[in-house]
Amino acid sequence: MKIVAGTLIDASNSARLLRRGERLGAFSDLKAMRDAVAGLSFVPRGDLADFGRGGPAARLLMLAALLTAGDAGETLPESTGIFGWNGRGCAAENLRFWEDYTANGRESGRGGLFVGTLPTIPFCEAAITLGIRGPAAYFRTAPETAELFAIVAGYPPGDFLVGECGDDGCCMLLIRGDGDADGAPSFPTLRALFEDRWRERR
Amino acid sequence: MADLAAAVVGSAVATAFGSSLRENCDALLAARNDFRAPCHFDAGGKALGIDPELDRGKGSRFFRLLAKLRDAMSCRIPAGTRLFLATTVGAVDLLERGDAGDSALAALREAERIFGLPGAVLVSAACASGQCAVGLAMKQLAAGRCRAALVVGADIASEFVTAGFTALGAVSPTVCRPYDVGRDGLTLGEAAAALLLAPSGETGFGRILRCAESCDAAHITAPDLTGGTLKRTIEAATAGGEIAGIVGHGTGTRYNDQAEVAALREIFPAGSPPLFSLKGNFGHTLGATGVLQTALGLEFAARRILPPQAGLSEAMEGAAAAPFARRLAAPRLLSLNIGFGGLNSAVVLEAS
Repeated sequence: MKIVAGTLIDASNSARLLRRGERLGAFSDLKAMRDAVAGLSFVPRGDLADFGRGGPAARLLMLAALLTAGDAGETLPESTGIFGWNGRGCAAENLRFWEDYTANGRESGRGGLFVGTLPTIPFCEAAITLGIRGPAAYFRTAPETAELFAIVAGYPPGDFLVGECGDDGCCMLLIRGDGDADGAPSFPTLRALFEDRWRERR
Repeated sequence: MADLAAAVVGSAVATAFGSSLRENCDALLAARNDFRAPCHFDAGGKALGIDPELDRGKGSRFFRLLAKLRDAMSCRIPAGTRLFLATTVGAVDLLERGDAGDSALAALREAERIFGLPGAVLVSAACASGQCAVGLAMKQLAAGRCRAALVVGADIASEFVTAGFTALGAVSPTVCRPYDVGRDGLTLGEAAAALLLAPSGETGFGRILRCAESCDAAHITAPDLTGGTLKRTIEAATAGGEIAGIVGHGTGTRYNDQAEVAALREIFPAGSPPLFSLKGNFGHTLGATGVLQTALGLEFAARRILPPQAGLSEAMEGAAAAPFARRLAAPRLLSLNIGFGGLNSAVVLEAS
């Protein structure tokens, strides 16, 4: 299995692209990052029409997906899969929906907040952005990247975006799966794996 | 596609109809439902598929559901088994009362404890979580990464989820009527189910032959109404093999059933095999439904019968649903899951 490309967006709204070895930003906010990303010649034109619909995790992952596709330097096949792994899940979104519902008299929840209570939603938003239609899911395992790579290796060979979203940004990698998880990298987070590869590259 | 087939060597269910496959199958063959107003929260007059047994006892309702499922399991869990837990929001009742920061993680930890299987994997793919977990377990078994796999799907009826689906306008004001021309929304339910899977060479009472998954990448809540991506997913799972019947996702919402039937009409232009959704009986059990469909589907396949569609008055055009039970020509079924985000899953199962 090969790591083809990757993006790390940090808390200061700056992004690093693994294959290209480039830094972008820092931007004042994610909307400013979106505007800048949309103007980059190497980034594919994605569907960002609903950029404001989701929460911060969805926006981060939509941008990370576009930047990772651009970093790869090739068009991702429609069969590309996308998986979320560990990170902070959606506990904050769940609490937000519930507190909003209870604070407003338990009459009615807000549909827009409810949709965000599933950990797959930000990754599905990223799939819509890129128009990729492979498998999509969120997995929580022990904090060990080899676990994630073993999951990906079980799927038919192909391209997979794997992402991890935290309170301080997100990391997304493009993995070319070949069914073999031998020699998978061992790090507690995707971010730690990215940092290792970034240092190695430089 | 690599051979991913897995033997089903054990299964269990915990529903409003009881804790045995026989009880549950008999209830479905009688087209029963158990929709009622919940006692544990005010659902605003809506009926849900409630398991009254879960009203008794203290602590988390979700944990009681897992315990009921464990008590229903008659098979021994062999050494080297890995646990795969499918759920949408997990122990959300803990979150409702301020006792859990992360309800899915709380559910995972309790499942590990209650089944004695640490190192579990949480699989969340909205309402396709159950079959997605089945598919993942098959892949991990085929790759030799575990000696057996216990796939558990569980979700409870909660104020949290009821408020959310109500806000989206997805809940029926009466009861769900899957594949009916007059369908007007889903009815929420609660259940748990488990499958113990072993490598395909082992002897079991059935096999899961193939699986496939996809994402529509079309809309964040609505399915692709053309059913295009779902069609390709079904074709990948069936691989041209004969299917005697279909356990559909069939939530009873306008969009879900339309997308599902559109895909099936494309694949079977001369008429699809008999179609049935168990949501007319249990309601929508969210992350549990895929595992429940697979467990009960194997029982239907073994009996060579597909239950009558509960709630059906007049089938929507192109839907091969019927208000009476039908014989299956072969013990092989297709089961479908569809979830928010455009998630699709198809599995093919066969009774021994």
